[in-house]
Amino acid sequence: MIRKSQLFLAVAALVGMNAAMAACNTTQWGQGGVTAVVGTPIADGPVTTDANAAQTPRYSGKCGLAGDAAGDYVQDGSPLAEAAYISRFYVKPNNTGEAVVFQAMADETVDYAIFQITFDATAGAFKFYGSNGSGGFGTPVSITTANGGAIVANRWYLIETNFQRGAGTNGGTLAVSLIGNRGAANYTLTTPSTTTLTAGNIVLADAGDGVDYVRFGWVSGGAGTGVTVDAFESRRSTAIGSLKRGDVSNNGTCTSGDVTQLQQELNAISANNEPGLKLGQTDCTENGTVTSGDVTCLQNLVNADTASGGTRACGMPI
Amino acid sequence: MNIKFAVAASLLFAAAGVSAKSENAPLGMEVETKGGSKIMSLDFESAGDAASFTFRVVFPEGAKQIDTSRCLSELPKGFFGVCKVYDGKVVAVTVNNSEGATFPAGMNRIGKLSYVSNSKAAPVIDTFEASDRNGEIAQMGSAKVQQVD
Repeated sequence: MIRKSQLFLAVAALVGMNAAMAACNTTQWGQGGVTAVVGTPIADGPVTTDANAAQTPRYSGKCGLAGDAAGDYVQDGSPLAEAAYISRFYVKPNNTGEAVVFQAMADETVDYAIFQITFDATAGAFKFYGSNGSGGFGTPVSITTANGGAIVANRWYLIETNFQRGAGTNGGTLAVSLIGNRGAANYTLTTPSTTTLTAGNIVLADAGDGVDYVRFGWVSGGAGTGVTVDAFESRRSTAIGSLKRGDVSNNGTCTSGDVTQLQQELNAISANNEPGLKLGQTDCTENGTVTSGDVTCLQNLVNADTASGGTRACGMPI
Repeated sequence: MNIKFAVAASLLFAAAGVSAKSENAPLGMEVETKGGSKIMSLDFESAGDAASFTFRVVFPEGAKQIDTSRCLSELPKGFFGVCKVYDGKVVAVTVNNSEGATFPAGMNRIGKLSYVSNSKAAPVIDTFEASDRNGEIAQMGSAKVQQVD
């Protein structure tokens, strides 16, 4: 059970590890009276000159959050029994078996997960479980493909969820969309994979239960190398959407200038120069490393934009 | 011929040429060869601050056999890019330098495109932008494509 110290804002943008911080940290977590950090996750970036010698991939900004064992995660307690809860994050799971990467918790005498998200490496699937109302889960729904290809470990995936509790009932629904691992050749706008936990697949213990806090990272389960997460955001209403892949400068457009900045980041990574890291999304191929392949990917992406007439919208179809 | 006048005129022309400032702009020059085959040379006029650029070439209706194999063959050392045909109608080019250096001020050769068309109309460069070494949009001039008989 937790005690609330802060109200969940109507539009709460919790961008974990995503700001222009000189050193990576987890100071944005732990609001609402929850423990910010459980276990020993590492907030870190892709160079060795910051606080941690280990190099951690990130999707956006300079830092990501890496767990190297089950039980390494962060928590946000700013929600308050939310009947409507929308969240969006990026995850790069490199676990074996089935690892829980996100839980939306109800704060009760005995807390329980209203829904949870796992990566099942054996099945090559993200699985979405809804509470059965008595401390366990019902049958999950799965997403096994993204952009027409199989979901694989160690690649970045965006997951956006929309939980809605039925009015005056102990039932709820969860709508899910997923996209990621688009690679160098897949540079036009792609359609997210979707699934839904329908009414009856999320059962709350009590009709007034809602999302009180969340756990994010390598929460539990599985084995293997690690789970890396980034760019978490949550709110009560209005879909959040994806960050613009290839928008290296983080100004909302993709131009040849982003290619130049991406090249600068490559040079910065080679030189272990943390200030040289860019604030946008440099991992164009979404494969967890920033290399010359990402430059080619971004040139393809900018080319596609140019061919479509110069929308500069980071991957619009021609 | 008035020699003095001719010399003075040429000096004036030269002075005007020195003072004219280059602008960032993609340029094309098209030459027709045998059988309707055409070769279009691609150049980039640089103001000296452009580190990267992108532009689109739209071909006349009915153009076919668009060949981009030499599209970037004459880039200055250190520069590289992607040149591709899209939907059989347009070519898009994106170029940058691996070290973030800028194009030298003045005319820079990029490469050549070839295609086949019976149209008398020239291709058009209708979309373009350039950015400086910081990734900011650089000031652009006017793109041109000239036909040489």
